[in-house]
Amino acid sequence: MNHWEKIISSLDLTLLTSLKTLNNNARGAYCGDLLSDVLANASGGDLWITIHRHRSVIAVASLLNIGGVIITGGRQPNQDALIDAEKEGIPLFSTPLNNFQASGRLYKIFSKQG
Amino acid sequence: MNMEFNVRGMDFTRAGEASAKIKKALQLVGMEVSTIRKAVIVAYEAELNIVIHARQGILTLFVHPDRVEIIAEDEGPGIPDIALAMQEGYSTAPPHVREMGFGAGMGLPNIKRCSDHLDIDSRVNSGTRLKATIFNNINGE
Repeated sequence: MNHWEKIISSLDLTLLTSLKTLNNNARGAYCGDLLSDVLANASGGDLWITIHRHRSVIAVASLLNIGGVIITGGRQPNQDALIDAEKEGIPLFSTPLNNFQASGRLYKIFSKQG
Repeated sequence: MNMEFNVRGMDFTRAGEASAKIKKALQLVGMEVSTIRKAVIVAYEAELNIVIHARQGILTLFVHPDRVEIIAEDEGPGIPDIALAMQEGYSTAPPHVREMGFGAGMGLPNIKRCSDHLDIDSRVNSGTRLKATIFNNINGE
């Protein structure tokens, strides 16, 4: 399985943007629902795990060169967030897992790579 | 080079647009990656402070070869106690803003951490002026 296939199957992700947003491999992950905390601590290339689904998440993700956004708990993004993600080339996913479960599964994947 | 952006209070549909343009401008002139990261964090936090707390404001970017300056000037309630506002966790943001993940009381501390110089002037019931300077360190940090 390639990089994205492994992440998508392990976290039961649904890719909501087009396939071409999966251009670059993710390099790590950060989980946070306070936007200022993510601004301070997430790195470029990280997958961002969050419960939020509004367009400011994409604005912050774009500023930080985030590698992808995973919305947890089966929540769906607002339409304008989805449009912005596509425009910015940021893969946007939803998962039925919660923040803890999604983080744990990504930790497994990235710690093996490290 | 300088650029100026109008920012409107409570306009969350456009929140972050000025910061996105600032990022593009800094990339175009070839600023260091670490400088751009710090400058966009300062710009975004300052822009959102205007959106969340003020009626309106202006975000201005000045680019010099050795540094970036960001000035945020707003018409709004002002900050009665700047030292208190600088403490992480202190916030006066309303609940509906906090529900979006803003207003955690980390904005000004984030700005301070990313700035080499920071000046804040505020008058209650009038407005706030913030000036942040970020040096363009060629060697990264």
